[in-house]
Amino acid sequence: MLKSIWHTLGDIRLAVILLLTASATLLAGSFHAEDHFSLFMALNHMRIQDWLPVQWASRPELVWWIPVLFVIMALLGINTFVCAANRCLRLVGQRRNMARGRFFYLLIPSLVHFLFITIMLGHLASFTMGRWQRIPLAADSPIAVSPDAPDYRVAAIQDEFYPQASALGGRLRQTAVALVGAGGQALQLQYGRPAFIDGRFLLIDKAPQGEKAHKKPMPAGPPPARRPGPASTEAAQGPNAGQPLLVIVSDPGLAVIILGLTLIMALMIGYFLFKPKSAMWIAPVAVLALLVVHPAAAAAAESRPEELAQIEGRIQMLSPDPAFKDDRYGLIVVKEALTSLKEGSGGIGACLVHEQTGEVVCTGRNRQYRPYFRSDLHAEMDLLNRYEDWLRKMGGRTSGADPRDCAHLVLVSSVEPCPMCLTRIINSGIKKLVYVTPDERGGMVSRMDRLPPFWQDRARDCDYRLAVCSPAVRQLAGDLFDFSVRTWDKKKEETK
Amino acid sequence: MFTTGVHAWLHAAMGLYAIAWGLAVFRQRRLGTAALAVGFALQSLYLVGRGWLGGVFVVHPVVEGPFLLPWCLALIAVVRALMVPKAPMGGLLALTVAFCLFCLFYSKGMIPPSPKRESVWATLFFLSESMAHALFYAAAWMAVLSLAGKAPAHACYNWLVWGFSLYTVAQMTGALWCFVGWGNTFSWGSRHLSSAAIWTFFAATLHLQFVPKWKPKSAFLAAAGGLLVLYISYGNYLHEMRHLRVGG
Repeated sequence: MLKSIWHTLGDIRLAVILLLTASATLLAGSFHAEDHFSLFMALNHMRIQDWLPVQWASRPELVWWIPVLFVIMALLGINTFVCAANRCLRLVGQRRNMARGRFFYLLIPSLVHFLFITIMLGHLASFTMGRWQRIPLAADSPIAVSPDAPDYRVAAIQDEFYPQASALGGRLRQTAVALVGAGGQALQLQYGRPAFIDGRFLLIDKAPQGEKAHKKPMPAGPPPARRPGPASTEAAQGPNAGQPLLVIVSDPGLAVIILGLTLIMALMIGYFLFKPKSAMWIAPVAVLALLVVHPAAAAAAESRPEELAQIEGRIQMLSPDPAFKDDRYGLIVVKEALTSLKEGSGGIGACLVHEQTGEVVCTGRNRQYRPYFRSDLHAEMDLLNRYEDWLRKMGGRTSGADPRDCAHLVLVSSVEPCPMCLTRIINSGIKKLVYVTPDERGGMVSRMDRLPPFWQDRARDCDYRLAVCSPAVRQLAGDLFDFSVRTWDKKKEETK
Repeated sequence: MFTTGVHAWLHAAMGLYAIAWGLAVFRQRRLGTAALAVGFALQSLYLVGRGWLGGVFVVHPVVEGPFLLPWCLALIAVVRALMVPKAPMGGLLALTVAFCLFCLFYSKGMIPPSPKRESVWATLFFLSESMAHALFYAAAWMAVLSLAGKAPAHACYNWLVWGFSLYTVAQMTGALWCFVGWGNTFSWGSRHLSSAAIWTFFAATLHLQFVPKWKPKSAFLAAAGGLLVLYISYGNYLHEMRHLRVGG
């Protein structure tokens, strides 16, 4: 029962429905905010629990969408958490079968989803705990930032205008406000350039209704004196339109939001950098520069011959690393995979190795599409077909009593075997299997616990695991496999 | 040099885009790419020139949505033509021409910028937002082609991914601009709410890819998303036509 609820909460269909509902609610809200600008702008400087009950009591027809939005976002947060947690748990379960780098790479989308929840919580903190104090600025007026911080005094307010000779002549370009603390410390504020004091941000804003007060150019010379007097008195009177205001912001959600946004950006960049298989590396550069070139992923998918030539070049440059005991065979199966790709089939290769002598007994590769379509000819199937045919020609196994007597053989595959191949390997009697790269989507070795009991029983004394290969060989095996998967996906789309 | 006369460059750029479109239709790829590249260069100059419309350089008119969007589409088309020479270009160029045509009838002057609009975060926001919009329009176009059976079923997916990534960047830069300007990372104003509506809509469209039974519907949503972006952004642009402008 609980499991069923958990899975329903994390269902991706629920995410789609909630996102679409949130979109519709936000759109409805934008119409209301457009028609009742002042009403909703007040919420920007008030805590939601102070604003909503009052407005709800007087005009529920205008504000109904805000509580609805909060409920939807809460459900979306729960859905996102459960969905991302499920994925993380699944990945952790498969951790031992994959390289550390790949594990973290696959973890990134889930982390981004967790950060999304964090940012939403940050916004919730801002809406419910934020404080915004707006004080009209006047020369020589005192400013109390917080009870704990010393008072500041407005030393000068200097307006800068566009040159008279230009079409913008006389219009306000910038305002510089100089604050001086009791201890003599100086602060300078400008529009769009806040200062941070004692856990609060200080920024300058303008009283609503445009810039009427600034339309006339100020005379040259020292900054004009503004109405003196304590800030509190002016606040009570209300600022004039266009008059600069000091906004003191205490927002506990801000740090969470900024940290979340920064981490999301870093993870997005890392996600693309971790995947140097295609022109996707352009992504971080594009994101950082914010000058995005056309979808490089699509371009990469279409520049296949170049990519294949590049992979071939990398294989030719590579020699087995003796520090990794399976590297030699990893490179053999990678070369088989490349041959298969060049023939027009999938980028997967396999070989059988005599465990004691280290001799490569037989090689195979994916032959699904060439010379003609054979749905069964995955690399492991091709390898075992060839080996068993060869065995028949040689007069059968050394032990006539047991046709599955091949405990001395190790099957090496470039990719984690699929369910079909895995059961064939178990059935063939092969007790040792290593694969160079895991296949999160289609691999079965990491899901052996989901095999039918018969096959689980047959595989009980088998040793099937990830090969001990250098990162370069593993990367190549993954690249070749991904290349064929993308080609296949593209063909499928074109056929449709 | 960068005076109101610079508007002629926009007309020339649009003419060249239209020629590039015609050449693409008649499969004259090299000539089409050349016309596109020259048009793009002229429009780039035009955008820089917009910065001087007031007689003193300000950034905001350069990144003003209605004028930046066709430039973004043209940039995408140029990069695509260079990286994938055999890719069909007709759709992208048709979109570029259509949005350029809107510019011809739009108020060409600049809205006098408020000091807050000159923030670097504002510039980054407008750049990333316009580029994301361009990618959403391209995705919607591909989705329409898919629905008409003239393109693969999920041809819009890559465009959507890139558009969404950039729109997320726009949300981030927009939040920072909003904070340094007004003291809030989220504003309860129409602009911010509609922007969030677009983000959630495309988030839903992308998540649809992971539901096998619903996946075929993603082309409908991508096309609808294009219309949503068009309605919201061009609704704002038309509203801004009423603003006081100088230098046009």
